[in-house]
Amino acid sequence: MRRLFQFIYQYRAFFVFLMLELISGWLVVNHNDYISASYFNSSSALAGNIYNSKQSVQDYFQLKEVNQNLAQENEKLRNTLALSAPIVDSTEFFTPIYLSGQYEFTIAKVVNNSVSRFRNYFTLNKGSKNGIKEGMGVVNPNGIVGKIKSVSENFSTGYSALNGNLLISAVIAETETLCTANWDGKDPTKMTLKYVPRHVKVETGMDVVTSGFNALFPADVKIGEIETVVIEENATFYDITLHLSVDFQSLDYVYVIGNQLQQEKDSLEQTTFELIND
Amino acid sequence: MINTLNIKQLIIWLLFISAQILLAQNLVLYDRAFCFIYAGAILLLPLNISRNYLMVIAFFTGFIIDIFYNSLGTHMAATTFLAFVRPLWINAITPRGGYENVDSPAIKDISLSWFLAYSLPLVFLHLSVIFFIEAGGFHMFFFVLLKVIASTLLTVLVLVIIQYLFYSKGRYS
Repeated sequence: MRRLFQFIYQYRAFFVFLMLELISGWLVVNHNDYISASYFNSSSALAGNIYNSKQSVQDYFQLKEVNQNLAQENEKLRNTLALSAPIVDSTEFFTPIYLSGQYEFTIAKVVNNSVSRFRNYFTLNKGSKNGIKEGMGVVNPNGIVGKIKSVSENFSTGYSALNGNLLISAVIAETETLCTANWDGKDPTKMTLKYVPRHVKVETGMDVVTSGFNALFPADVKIGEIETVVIEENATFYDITLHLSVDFQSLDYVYVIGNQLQQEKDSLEQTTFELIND
Repeated sequence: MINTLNIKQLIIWLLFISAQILLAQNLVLYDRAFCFIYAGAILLLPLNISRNYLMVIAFFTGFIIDIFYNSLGTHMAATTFLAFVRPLWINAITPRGGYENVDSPAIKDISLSWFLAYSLPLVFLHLSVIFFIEAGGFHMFFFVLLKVIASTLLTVLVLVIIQYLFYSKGRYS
């Protein structure tokens, strides 16, 4: 026993090292998976506030761009309004899905964002106080941005679409082929599209949008355009790269989407699944 | 325990951490070269610091950085590893005169060439751990290796520049 203690004491530096590495290894494994709400991230009050003040300094340098983006979005909205106005008729009034009360949009500002790491995250300046919950989808006028990972009172952190952990249920708009969009960790302007079977005719320039199946994003939110299409001799699926429609290098304002019916949909699907398994 | 030297070290540590979070985090060249100058907070601690103490400081430093990078555990593991290897490497590259009259492993106390020999391999190891954990394995080996090498060069360059700017001889001694 005495010799054991002597041994440990002699190599105490190594044992301290081993202990600290085991703790960090445990944290890496347990706190970075897909759904894990951990307290220690940039949505915590300390980190959030520091990022917020940092962003308020940077804001002055981006005023012009932000203004331009907002003006462009305004123009687009006015155009859709002008187009759709004559069609509205009280006899055949069809409420668009985003007005029917299923989806709720909250505007938030990105106070911190990364694009070139293997797993990218952003921090928003709104939190549970503003009704943001874990798992909500995030979009901006150009397309999809990501998904909320964890929320504190005033801030929230999310997986950017540039995060290998995030799988987005997508469809190719022209052919209505269901597939999955995922980031491969290299270029922040591109994404890969998986599981497009070889019998589908795919061309460059086709639009890829969200499917709306997973209740995270409404259907038809743009993801990007197909840029390259490759298929190998015996492969079942195409190798497709997308050009993302959102410029992640300059995110400013985003909308967080709350789906009022998500719980209902999830519980229905869960019940069905259990019925099948019984 | 608490004396002017420790307070000075604490302030330098705080400056490195804030510089990392507020400035260096945004400094990414060509999506490849990242600047992790907070490693300097560990590299430039005094030579006579005890190994356990050094590792605990490093562990805590990594923890703070992880909170801001949303990567709990990654920087903790890497920085602790850096702190574990540091004394071994310092012993391995003892200059001809030994470490007499040297209190910190900085350029002003020894020399530029010694500092490069000291920091390049250590920063390389540190960043390898970070990037390979982040990539989640070795499946993009050469891409990650390129990132590590580019980031090592950038980080060490910035550390050298910082020392010439702020660690002038005599000012802090």
